Amino acid sequence: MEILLGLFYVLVFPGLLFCFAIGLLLLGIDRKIVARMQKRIGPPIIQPFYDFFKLMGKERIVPNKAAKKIYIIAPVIGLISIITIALFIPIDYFKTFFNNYADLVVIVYLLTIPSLAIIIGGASSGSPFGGVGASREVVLMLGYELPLVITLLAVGMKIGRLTNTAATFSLINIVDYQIKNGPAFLQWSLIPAALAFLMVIPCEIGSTPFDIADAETEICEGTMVEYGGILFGVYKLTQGIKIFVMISLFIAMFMSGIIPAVSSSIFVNSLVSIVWHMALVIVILFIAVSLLRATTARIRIEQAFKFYWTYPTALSLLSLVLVWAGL
Amino acid sequence: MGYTIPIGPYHSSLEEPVYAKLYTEGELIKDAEVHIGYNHRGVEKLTTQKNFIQTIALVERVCGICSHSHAFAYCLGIESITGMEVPKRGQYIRVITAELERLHSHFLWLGLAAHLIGFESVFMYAFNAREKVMDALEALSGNRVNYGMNIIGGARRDIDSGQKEKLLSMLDELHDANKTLKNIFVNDKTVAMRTKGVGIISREDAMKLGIVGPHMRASGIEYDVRANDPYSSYEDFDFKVIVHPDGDVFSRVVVRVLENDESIKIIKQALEKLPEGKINLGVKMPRVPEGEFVSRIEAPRGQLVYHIVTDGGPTNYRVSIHVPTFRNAASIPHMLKGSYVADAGLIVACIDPCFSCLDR
Repeated sequence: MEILLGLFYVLVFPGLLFCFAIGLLLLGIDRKIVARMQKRIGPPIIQPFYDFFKLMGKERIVPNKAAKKIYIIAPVIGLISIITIALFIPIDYFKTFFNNYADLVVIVYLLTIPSLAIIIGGASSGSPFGGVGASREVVLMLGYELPLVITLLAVGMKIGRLTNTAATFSLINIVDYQIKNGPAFLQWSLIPAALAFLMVIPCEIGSTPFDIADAETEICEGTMVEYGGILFGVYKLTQGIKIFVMISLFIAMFMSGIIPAVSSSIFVNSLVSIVWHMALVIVILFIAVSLLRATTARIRIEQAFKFYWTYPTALSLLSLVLVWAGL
Repeated sequence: MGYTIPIGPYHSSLEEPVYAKLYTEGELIKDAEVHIGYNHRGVEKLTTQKNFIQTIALVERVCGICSHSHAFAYCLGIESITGMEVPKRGQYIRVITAELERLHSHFLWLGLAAHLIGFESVFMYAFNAREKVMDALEALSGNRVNYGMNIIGGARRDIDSGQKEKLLSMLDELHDANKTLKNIFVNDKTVAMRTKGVGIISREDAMKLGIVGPHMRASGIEYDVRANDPYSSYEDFDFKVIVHPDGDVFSRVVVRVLENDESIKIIKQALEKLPEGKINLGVKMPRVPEGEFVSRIEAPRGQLVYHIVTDGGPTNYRVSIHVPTFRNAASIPHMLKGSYVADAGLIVACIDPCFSCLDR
């Protein structure tokens, strides 16, 4: 029974099948919202599904100059690691036994793997555009990892203080505390950290103004320039799931426990919290991704790096200092 | 890490083929070369085999965006060789078409500039405005791309009062659209981050390189053929020559946005002051004596020069076309040196290149 349940979690919800659906769906919703803001009708919301299935049927071409094995395996590793993170993030009352195995440190490690996969895949493609894209992705990672880690540290420390333990990095503890005592963003010392996290989201998922590593009009999709067919589809899918994972992580860290338990049954509570979670994901997608994408131009790599090491880093450090000072 | 990055011959930031070779170190461009000639069609040779009416149709197809300018400059040349005096109404209709074409070209470029810096919303807004200009041109000439408004001795189609009202109301819409674009380009912070200080050409360098048009006026040189050497009754209209001193991509954007306003102003004046009378001289096939003339006009991209030589026969002896892009393309390597790879596409595109004009 335990094994069957585990398989269900891994393959259906919140694993492979669900991630596949929600990732592509969020990409479609994002495209539709932006289209409406640009006075366009936009593609149907399920357009990314059409694209993905079309890409599955396309020929897979590996360039002569590419390091073949790495080139093929990099996007797949990225996809696997991002789906793994989805298993580790609790959704309010919905928890799987995977949640007990992983804490924030593991999630931070796993979050870097899709970016690393992009870097390795782009660099192995043997194209100068891929090389430039990879070097840009490295710089971006250096930029946004710092505020991200400090933010997670601040939240862990705050929840740890409140529960009279040392800093806690268990997401289960963080979510449970919020379910009992209200969401973490109401703790005013964590508000700067929440803002910093929101600023990290568009860069982590590579949307304008931070779509620098795969800038279409500058370096022809950069790291993805040589990819085609199912491998490109896998990359797009990874990007979609990354949106879901990053926003889910944000909700788990700051906005859990907004709706109270509606019944004593865990199943009903889980169901309600999942529906609520999806609604929140779309709202945050609009605020943190679509709105920004429709109203900004792509900035340069050194400007992005400077931005991340000033504002978000300062905000998250402010939170950390406030928490450390016991506020 | 040194890469040699090719921008072109086919690149997503270019609509037409040109090849800029970038020698980079990391994100910095150490050296750059520009190779042209991917779009050669032999138009100049063909003009020597066509008669004067056929040549109008031919030169109109040199460029898809400034098609009227080419036919305009050619007709001005032939009219001067034969000594024709175009009726005022015909001159005004030519000016209206030329200014609508300038609006079309500038909106197109503003959209592309926004697209190149990744600002897709503004791209959509600019192309929305451009669509309105194309509708206006269709209302005026019946065509959306090659307008066919020129004939030797004047304009081919008249404007009636219904068209006039329609054009005036369209111009009001365009004015509002341009106001929105102006607001975004001048005030948006990310646009400033991407365009200020990029691709700088100082006033002295602009003089040395011999660049023309809005590209030159953005480097602080106040020169416009419409104002300095008026042709086709431009002296009747009240407009400003827009100049911006900074010489970077941002000032080129500002110059073009403000020139849109001036163009709208000129069209309004021309429509309101439209004189009565004939629109052309009614010449079917002109008898052109032996002669030579250099006609120059202000095309949307800058000064367009037609050197026309006739030998008294039924065809042109020589038509030499000097397009603005040829002059401006010389400034691309100058701008690319020492800038970032991220800006390379924008820098190549910021001269508003037209390679079908350039290669003819």
